[in-house]
Amino acid sequence: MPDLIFDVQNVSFAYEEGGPLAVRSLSLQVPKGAFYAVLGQNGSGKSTLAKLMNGLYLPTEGSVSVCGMDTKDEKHTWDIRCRAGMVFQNPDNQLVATIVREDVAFGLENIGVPTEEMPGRIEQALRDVGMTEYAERAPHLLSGGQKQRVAIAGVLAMRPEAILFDESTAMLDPQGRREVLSAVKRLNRELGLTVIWITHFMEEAVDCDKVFVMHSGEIALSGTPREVFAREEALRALRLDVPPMAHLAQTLREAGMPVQDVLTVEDMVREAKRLCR
Amino acid sequence: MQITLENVTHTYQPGSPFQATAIRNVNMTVNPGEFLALIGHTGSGKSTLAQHLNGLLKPTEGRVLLDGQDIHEKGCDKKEVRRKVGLVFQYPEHQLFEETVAKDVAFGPKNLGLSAGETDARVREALEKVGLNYDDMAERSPFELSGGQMRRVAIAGVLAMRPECLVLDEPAAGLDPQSREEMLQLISGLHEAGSTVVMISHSMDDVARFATRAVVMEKGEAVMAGAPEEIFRHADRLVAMGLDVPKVCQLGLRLREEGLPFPEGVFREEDAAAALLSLWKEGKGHV
Repeated sequence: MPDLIFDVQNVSFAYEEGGPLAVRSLSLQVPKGAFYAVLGQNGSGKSTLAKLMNGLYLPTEGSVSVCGMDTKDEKHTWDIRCRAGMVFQNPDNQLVATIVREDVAFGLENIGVPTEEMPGRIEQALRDVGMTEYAERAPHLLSGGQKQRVAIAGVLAMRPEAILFDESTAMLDPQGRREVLSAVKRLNRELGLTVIWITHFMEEAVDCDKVFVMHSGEIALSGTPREVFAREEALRALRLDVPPMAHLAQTLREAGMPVQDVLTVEDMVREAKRLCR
Repeated sequence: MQITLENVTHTYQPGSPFQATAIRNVNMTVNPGEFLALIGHTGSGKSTLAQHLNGLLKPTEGRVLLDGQDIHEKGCDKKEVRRKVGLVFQYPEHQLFEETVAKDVAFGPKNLGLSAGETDARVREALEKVGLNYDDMAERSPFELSGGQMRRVAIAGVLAMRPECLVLDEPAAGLDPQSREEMLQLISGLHEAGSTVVMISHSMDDVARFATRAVVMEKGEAVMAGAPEEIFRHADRLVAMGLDVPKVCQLGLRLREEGLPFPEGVFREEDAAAALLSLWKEGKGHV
């Protein structure tokens, strides 16, 4: 299967030998260009899964391959990390340089990109996240959303196939969240970047291709956002939520109003127009 | 207990090249028993404002009054001000430092000079208030708890001082949905039990659900104040400031744009459901 970016086969993982499993017998295939969301309460194994998917952790059992390369094979380690980048939660822990441009260059220097090739890659990456005009600024003076976009640019400059986002919007304000998510959606749509989007915000998952809900190290629910968010009770049992409009729709259905397929405000507008005229 | 800010301006590092005025000419009152939400964009001055409420920051200009007394005047007992007004910072779990949960929560009361017996009673009471069992928790290290539990322990440390007013800076940030909900229910319970609550929040849905009044900050100034229904009536202004409005307000704006007679001033889910059901029933009546 040449077009699989990630192939997670029956993976279990324990932090200590013989310790409890943080991920258990989990399988997941991610095709090129997909935008998948991973939901789950704290401690459900989301971040562990993400770290298994770019070889930061190696499976205790089973196998993970990235673009056809087994993460256990040491000679591929660097290659895998370049193909599958990662953006973390706290923007302040990810930026290292005193100027945005140099921060984006950091990864490139580490992987030995020739000096003459760097400016072009950096310009391109900053353009892709809409941060060109900030190239000469100091990162610590940027907003949270801007810092995260610089962190994304740093990964993009390495020309990855995929980026794993581990709650990258958790510490941002609503505007920062919108900024980052819309930049990532554009990268997925226009550059075909494969995206794994781990989040606690149910609304951030409504537009993605598939949603995976983790619980106790396993995938407890999966499907399209419409399929998954239709299962309000199951989600609540997993200590999760549904997007506000899906919840409103459920209340209306219980009162007899036959609204269908509602995840967003626009869905509810469509249903109200259909049913209330 | 009432806190009043009179023409408060705060400038960080005045006279240096880094001089920055974070809040300007703010006049506001925190009334006894209310649940006041402070909302505004990042950098609008919310956190700076919050740190004036218990005298942690001193206004560059203007006064902060606690029940009519200027808290920065000579003779005002600052310790008593900080005991009465408990401040919970963003990510307060980063401030846990003791070996055990009980010791961490006891830190404040001990500094008040309370006896060991009284301190222990306060610790039990505070842990119970945040929904943690004393016997299970007291001897555990705070660092082996879940994120939600750690945050509860940090809040218990403030509650152990028996404050009359609790000021919380984004208490639900970064928690998973269930822990968020539990945290909000906890704060709402403290309010119902008589605490005055001031909560900084970015979630307008939470403000709509819990606050009795809200103050909107923009660029260091308090630009709007009122009950949630008044604030959210100006949804378009909030959007222009880069703020969110409750999803239900967004729905209302869009439905009215589409020509449906959805009432203004609806911002809670149950009210939106009632309004939609009545529109639907009227629509059926015409067919």
